[in-house]
Amino acid sequence: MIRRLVPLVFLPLAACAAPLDVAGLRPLAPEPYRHPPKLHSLQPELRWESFPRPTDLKTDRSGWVSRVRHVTYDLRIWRGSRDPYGYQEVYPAELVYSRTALAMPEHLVEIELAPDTQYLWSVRARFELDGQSRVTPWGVLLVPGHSVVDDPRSVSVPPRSYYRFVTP
Amino acid sequence: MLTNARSAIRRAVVLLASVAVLAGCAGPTTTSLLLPPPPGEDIRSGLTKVAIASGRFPPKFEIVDGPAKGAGQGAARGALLGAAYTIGGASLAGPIGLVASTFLVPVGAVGGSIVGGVTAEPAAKVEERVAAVARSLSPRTIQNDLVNRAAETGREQTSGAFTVMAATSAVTLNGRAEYRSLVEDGIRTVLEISVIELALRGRTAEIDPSLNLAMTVKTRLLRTADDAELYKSSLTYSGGRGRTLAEWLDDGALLRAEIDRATEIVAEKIVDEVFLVVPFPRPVKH
Repeated sequence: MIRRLVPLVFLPLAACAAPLDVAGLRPLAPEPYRHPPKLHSLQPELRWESFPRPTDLKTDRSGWVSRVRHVTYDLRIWRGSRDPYGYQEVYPAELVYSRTALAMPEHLVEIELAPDTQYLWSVRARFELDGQSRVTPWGVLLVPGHSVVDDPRSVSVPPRSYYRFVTP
Repeated sequence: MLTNARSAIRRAVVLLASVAVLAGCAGPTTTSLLLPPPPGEDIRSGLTKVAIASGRFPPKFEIVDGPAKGAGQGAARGALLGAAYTIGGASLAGPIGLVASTFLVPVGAVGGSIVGGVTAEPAAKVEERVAAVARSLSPRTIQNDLVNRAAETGREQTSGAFTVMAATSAVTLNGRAEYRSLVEDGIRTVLEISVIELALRGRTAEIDPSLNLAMTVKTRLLRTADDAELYKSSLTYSGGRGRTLAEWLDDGALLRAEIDRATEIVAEKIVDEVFLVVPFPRPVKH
């Protein structure tokens, strides 16, 4: 009996503790969990996957990824506020930080963020494709069980499922 | 005794589910839930000179699930809320609480209906406020602000040349837009951006709910040579910070600021989708 209960109790806990899937460039620090990670600094250092990723090159059947040149990154941070509809939890209420054309997939935030506040953040790659400026979609969390409003291709803007962290 | 308890729990579950449907699921509604894929590079290669046209009609304005109108509606909503809170509170006490709640629900409903009946504004006053909010909006300005913002964002983010068309240009007698004359000016594509609807949305069961701005915008990319539609999509801005109808009306600057925010976010999304975003390659499914 107890043996049967163990997976029932621990599997959901393990699922909560595992990092979430994302659509977009994956955050490496802080990692994306269901509950926003609490940071140690008001000027956090954020890191994410570089573009193109090995999987992009591998799955690129039309060959456009190999023509990508001059990759940089756009980063945005919003102050979060509670969403009135509940199921989306947090809303990107105010854009507080924005950088474009970052050369590396990492950035030390240059201003002090407010203490004990939940923030949403996201990144995308900006690059040249056949001489034209192009971007990847902004990265978002794929939270299991959330509504279609949180789909990365949802018609509803702004997205509620950007990456998250909480300041100390 | 056990059968009675099960029956009571079943009734409570059914009631809770009904309340959840009525009260909790009244989120923003959209006609199509996902965006179509962005235009391909074959289409984008022709987007060097783009004219942007705005909608030639005032957007529909409505209050969706707004405040209760009059004592009757207030009492009905109050009764529902009273019953829901009674069940919700009692369920915290476990199965015994749920059983007890079946006896307390009528009390909660009656209490809620009294509160709802007393606190709801008269229907005429609510209607007057709705009309006042509608009057405070300038439809022409909202349409123009959006196309101007989209053109500005397009110029900043792309190498294309963007021209905002005058509101009166290229409209045929039957009101439909016709863009073939633009070919002579070297403009091969027109981006039509129309605000279809502005709404303040609340939740059905509340007596004086917090209302959020929703702005629905339709976009079409048309080839001027033959008016062929190259791309179309619909977006809905769904605001985060809600206010009651009276609060929106008391401070007109708040509503204007929220519409400005919606304009900025929607314009950027349109430019991203039409001109810039390239989706990641998708893994092949075997």
